[in-house]
Amino acid sequence: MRCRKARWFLSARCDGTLSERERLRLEDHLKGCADCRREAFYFSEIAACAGRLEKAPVRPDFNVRLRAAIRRSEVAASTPKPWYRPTLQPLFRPVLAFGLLVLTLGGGVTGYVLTHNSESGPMDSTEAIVEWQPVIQPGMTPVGDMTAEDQRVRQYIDTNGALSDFVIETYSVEDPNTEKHLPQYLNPVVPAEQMARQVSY
Amino acid sequence: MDSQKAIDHALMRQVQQDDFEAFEKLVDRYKGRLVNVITRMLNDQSEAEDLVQETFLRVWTHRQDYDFSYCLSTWIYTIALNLAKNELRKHRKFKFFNLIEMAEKGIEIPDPKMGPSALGHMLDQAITTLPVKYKTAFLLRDVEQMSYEEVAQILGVPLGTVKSRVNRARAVLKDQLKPKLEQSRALSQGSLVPVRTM
Repeated sequence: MRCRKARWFLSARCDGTLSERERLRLEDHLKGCADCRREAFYFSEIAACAGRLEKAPVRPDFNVRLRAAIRRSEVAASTPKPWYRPTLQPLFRPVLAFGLLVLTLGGGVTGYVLTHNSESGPMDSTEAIVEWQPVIQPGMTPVGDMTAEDQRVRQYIDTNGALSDFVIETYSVEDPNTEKHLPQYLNPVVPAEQMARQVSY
Repeated sequence: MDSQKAIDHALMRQVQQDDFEAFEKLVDRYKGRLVNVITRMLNDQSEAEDLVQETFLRVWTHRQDYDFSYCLSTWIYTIALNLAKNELRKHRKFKFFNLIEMAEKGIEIPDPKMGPSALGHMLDQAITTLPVKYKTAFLLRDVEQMSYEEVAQILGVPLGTVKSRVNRARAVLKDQLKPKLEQSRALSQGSLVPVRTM
């Protein structure tokens, strides 16, 4: 038997689990090999020493505390659980957290979209048309000639989804009571049914 | 061994009929051994006692589920070791350190000039450095002196795997404690005499 194989058997030798043939061959090798004999001593010493290790002490009130723990658990088991209890179980917590996150993010995005749209004007194109109808009172007359500055451009998305421009014409009219010139806007000719959504002013 | 199994089963039958006295007898039979193993697994005696209590609590709670075709000791050790493994996983107590690091951290290492009794103390410290799977197999086999078959049942691994883990654990411990073991060997051969230093 070679040293390598002999050392493979040393642990089993400590346990006494070698077959008779293996044991004889190993003992034969150990007689002639000081290194393997030393290793065999180390193994048997460790196994023997492990069996003699000092036992960890147990506190004298172990049984009393165990009895109290059992009583507590039995009381807890007999108490009906509140209906919301399952939702607080560890398994449900990630699901709950995810749901709350989705709700928060969804609410935030919806709020942002609504706020943004209300700042940029009414979304309903028909309302916009009505709101921007020119108010030319009797007696008011356009003043001066139209210039480029008197025109404002709006954009809208038509019912085909294309972005289009239209022009708002601006008039100055004279108020007969105050004799002041007031700006009035003449809405462009964009049929309501053609305008899907007004996007800017 | 069979008589122990018979006593365990007789007690367990009484426990299944809600006999708390029989349960306490079972507790007394196993608490020392369990605390011994779990303390060495966790390196914390107080935590080990809490965990052994939890083990017995589960034994009591699930007493009707016990299958008499298995050894009671296997069942109890399996519960305790699973709890210990969970605890180790939770707190990440897998610490890999060697004796030199332990000395640097101020962990007590006995003076190598001391007699062979110091070997037990050093072995105890060295066991803490083993990886969990080797440590568990070594503790059950060499410290608790269980058979390989029992250890295999408790750990739920094949017999050959247990033998290999125990062998590996012994080899690691042997390498760590070589100087002390050599001293012990010299003493056993009579070439060294322990001298008490002042």
